[in-house]
Amino acid sequence: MDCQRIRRDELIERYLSHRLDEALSDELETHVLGCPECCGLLEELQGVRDALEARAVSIRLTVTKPRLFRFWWQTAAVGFAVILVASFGLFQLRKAAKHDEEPGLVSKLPRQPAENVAEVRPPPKTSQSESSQVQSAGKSPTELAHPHRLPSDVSGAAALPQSDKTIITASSGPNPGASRAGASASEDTKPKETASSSSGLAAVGESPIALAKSTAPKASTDPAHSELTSAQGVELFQIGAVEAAPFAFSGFAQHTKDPKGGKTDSLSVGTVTPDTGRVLFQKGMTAYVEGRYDDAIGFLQSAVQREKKTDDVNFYLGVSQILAGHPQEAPVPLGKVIALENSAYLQSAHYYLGKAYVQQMKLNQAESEFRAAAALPGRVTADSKALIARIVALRAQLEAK
Amino acid sequence: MDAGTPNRGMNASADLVARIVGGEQAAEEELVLTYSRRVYSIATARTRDRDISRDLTQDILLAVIKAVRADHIREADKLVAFIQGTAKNVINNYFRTRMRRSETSLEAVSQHTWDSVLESEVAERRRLVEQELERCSPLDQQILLFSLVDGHSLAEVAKRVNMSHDAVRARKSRLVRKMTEKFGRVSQK
Repeated sequence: MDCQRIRRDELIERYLSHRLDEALSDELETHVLGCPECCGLLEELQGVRDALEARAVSIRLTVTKPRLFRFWWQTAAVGFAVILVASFGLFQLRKAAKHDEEPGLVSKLPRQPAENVAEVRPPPKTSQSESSQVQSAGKSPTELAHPHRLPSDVSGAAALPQSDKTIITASSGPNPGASRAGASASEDTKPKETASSSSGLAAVGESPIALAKSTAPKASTDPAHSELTSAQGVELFQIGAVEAAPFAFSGFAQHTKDPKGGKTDSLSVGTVTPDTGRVLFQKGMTAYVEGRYDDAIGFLQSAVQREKKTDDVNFYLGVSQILAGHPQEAPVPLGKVIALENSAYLQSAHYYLGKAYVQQMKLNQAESEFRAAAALPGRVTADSKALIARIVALRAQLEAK
Repeated sequence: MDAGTPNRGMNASADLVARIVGGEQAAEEELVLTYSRRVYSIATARTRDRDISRDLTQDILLAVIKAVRADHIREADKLVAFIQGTAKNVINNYFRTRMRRSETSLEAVSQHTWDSVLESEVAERRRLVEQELERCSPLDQQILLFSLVDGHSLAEVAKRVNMSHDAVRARKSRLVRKMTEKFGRVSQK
């Protein structure tokens, strides 16, 4: 044994903490007795050890800060990355804002056939007293138009290009025509943009408040609902906002048999007999995943005729109808899912039916659907409970008017 | 170190033994002065009790001198190994009995076994160690505590303080080296 090995292998430390075996200890002690330097090291480490032992409690209680940034260049790299991401985000935001303001894009947006037309006009410069107007109430236009920063597959957010410049005329009577008449009376000289909607909040090209107001009279069961403040309109829109229900293609595996005796279905279209229910469902769900909800509805409606008892077809048909802006058509397929009672989609069906009712301003029915969803275990239980509370609060506000 | 000068160390040990066997009082004092501190360090490391180690050191050195006087050392050039063996036996005996027994009283030896200079030096070292520890960061203190007191390996210490093994090793080596150099300078004063 030599001094070099003692230091390299930290034999003295191990000896002091009694982690050295007997033979090595003897060897070390013999060396220490003959080596003043190693004896000095032993004494020093013993001194350190005693001092540490005396203050062991306080050292143990000391919380050392986590060393997140050990080196300056790591800190610099993280900082640079943050700046880069922030810059990119700002650039994207500006780009998106420019895109929203671009007028030419409005005309390119898809329009529904004109039924129950609600009018969206620029703000009148003269009189605002002739009609009830909805102001932004301090919220940014983008917030109002996209309260949840909804993606393209979210109902009501497909296109809201000029919502920041519009003040919406809400009808005061049960007849939508009255709304149109009242609106047109207020300003004839202003350019009009007509956004069509079959009904509900999910119409393309309308602001949520406009839709809430324009649909309130015909759909609401409560006359008080015809007058909404901007905050209530936003709240209603947020409650009714729908995100596309998740869909995994593995779901095909449970339907490997063709109900009409065709070939076995699979994910590979080439091996599937055309025009079976499953193939139509597959095509519908491909459109659904890609956000082409109108196409999805067509395929799913065809599929549901072939597989009438298939809950997944009905469920996604209902959801697609909400997402495509036809919430009034959603209760039929979703109701079929609910009627099955033991469906895996039962809770989600209640939840989306509630959303559909909210979009139709049927708050009582919406609440009961959300209650049914909240009573079931699943991924939307908490969300349903939260929505119930918001509906109750909103209704209390409306009734207090 | 020992390996570097084996022959000279062996010759010196053989000479010392020969002088003690010859009845030279100064040789006994020389043996005590040379080995008392080292034996004390070993006894302290084993017992972790400085007071008991002091008494045990006396017992060990007394046993060695007694044996040398009686010419019981077969290989005079292996005096160090003999002292180590004696120390181990005495300390183990202490652990077995938990009693300290003074086998004989040799006045000449007891005068030199423990002097006040050594006592004050040890106290001074301890004070300096505490001062130096105060200057260490909490992390350094923890590394030393886990390693020297708790007896964890460097790998275990590294895991506990969430650092790499190399980083812990480097930190500990730097701390030990710093203290060693500092106390080395103090000892040379």
